[in-house]
Amino acid sequence: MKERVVTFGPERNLVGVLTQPDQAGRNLPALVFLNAGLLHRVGPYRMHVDLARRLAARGYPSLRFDLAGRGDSARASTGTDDPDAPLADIRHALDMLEEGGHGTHFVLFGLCTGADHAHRGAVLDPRVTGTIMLDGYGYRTWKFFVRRYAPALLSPARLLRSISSRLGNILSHAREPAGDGPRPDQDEEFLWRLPAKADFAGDLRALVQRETRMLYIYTAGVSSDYYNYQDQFRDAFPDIDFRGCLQVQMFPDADHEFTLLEDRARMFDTITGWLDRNFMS
Amino acid sequence: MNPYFFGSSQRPLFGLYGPPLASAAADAGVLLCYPAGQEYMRSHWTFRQLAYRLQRAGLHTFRFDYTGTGDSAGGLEDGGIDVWCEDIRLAADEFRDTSGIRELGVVGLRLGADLALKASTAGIGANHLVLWDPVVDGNAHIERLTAMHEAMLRDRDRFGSACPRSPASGRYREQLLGFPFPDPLRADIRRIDTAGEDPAAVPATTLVLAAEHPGADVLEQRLAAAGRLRGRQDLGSRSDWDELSAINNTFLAPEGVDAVCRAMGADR
Repeated sequence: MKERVVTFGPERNLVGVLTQPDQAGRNLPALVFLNAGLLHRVGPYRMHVDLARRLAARGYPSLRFDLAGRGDSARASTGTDDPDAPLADIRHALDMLEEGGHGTHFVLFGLCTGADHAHRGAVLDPRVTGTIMLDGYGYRTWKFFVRRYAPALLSPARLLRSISSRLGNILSHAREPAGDGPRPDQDEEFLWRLPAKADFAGDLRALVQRETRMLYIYTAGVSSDYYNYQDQFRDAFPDIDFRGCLQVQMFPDADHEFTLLEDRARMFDTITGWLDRNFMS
Repeated sequence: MNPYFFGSSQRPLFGLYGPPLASAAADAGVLLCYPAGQEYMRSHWTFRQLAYRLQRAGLHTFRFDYTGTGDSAGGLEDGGIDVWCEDIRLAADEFRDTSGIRELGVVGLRLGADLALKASTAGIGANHLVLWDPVVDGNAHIERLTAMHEAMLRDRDRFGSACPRSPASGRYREQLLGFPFPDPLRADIRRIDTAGEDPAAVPATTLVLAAEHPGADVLEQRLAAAGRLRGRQDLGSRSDWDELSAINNTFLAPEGVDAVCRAMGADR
């Protein structure tokens, strides 16, 4: 395994690290790790580095890089206020990899807002043949609401705790001081934007049509917000025939960032197994 | 910015050289030393901002990842206080070769401050040292991280109905807040006693301290007694290093960045 630093993009403002396996030329996809929010390219708890090196041992090359304005990548002179700017950065990354002989097809990896960019990047670029989404988009179903609220409704004590907790949240938000300026997590660029369900369904159909492989992973970190059971993804889109392109895996005891090593190891196992099944043949 | 790997081919380190961004460039530069573990993850953005401010003031900058951290080779099991101090020495040499600077300032945050102090004491030719929220007592630091990790396992907001999570056993036993923390590394960090370093060997030092920084007064007194204390800058607010709710938050510290820039004469 070898690693080298790359700078690329029209202004060479994008910074990344390319991880190359010792044995190249097996036509495996190259993975591209996208920023999770404001975190730089190494990922939460260095997750991207560890996974990149593990995958290189199995023959998969990868790139972890910072979108313009994040991590070590400078803002482009044209600015990065355009919400589509990350998509151009992803295209530059794929161009660099392809022109450098590091792959002709790619798997985009993203956690949280990184999953947002991975999905949008996959829709736009047919070179993307796979996506790995950690706590990516999810759409609530009636079963979600039953699982979310039934336990409280069936237990007066839990119901009281739930009401008390929600009331506490409302009051604490009301007490929050105005602060002395915007924080990155208040920056609109880092806020979650769920696409209209019909638009997302259209994207999914287009990706299935292209035979793009999709791995969706959900954690306990989003179970009270929008995803809380294994089949929710398919239930949300009952009219779509995924034709073997979709795998959903819940980690109901892991947190959003896969903080614990044992959870991260299981997640890595899921990803390597999924990659091998879909791309190793 | 010029990012590249340096050091040995067996154990390359990721470094990032930043040239001066002012017309009147100085022949001085600042080597930036990150914290470790989840504090590294939190502070990367602030180091970028700090480097940019220093470069705008005409200084060269160099920041890098220690062995087993960030983009550098290895895992945390390959790291340790001596290894990381050697990394600082390598980075200082690399910085001088790349930039041609004659005057070297070193800034360290949290554990990075301790490493910067130790490496400087061992002799990397630093002219000026800034210790920002140093870990003064390594044993207390490990105890705090351990307590935070145990509290995290009981955090319902994090693990939902899977809460409380059991402490890991076997190969995952040695972890703290998202990172493997092998016993030898913990033992290394426990031995840190910043106030116990020989102050006579320390370059001129400025302390940048959040409010209520435990143990900093002893360090200040020892540096002052040895004539090595260049100044102390107290930040108005408390730090959140020991707060579990903050472990995934970006460490934003405009006041601290201002203070470090002042200490480096980069506030003009």
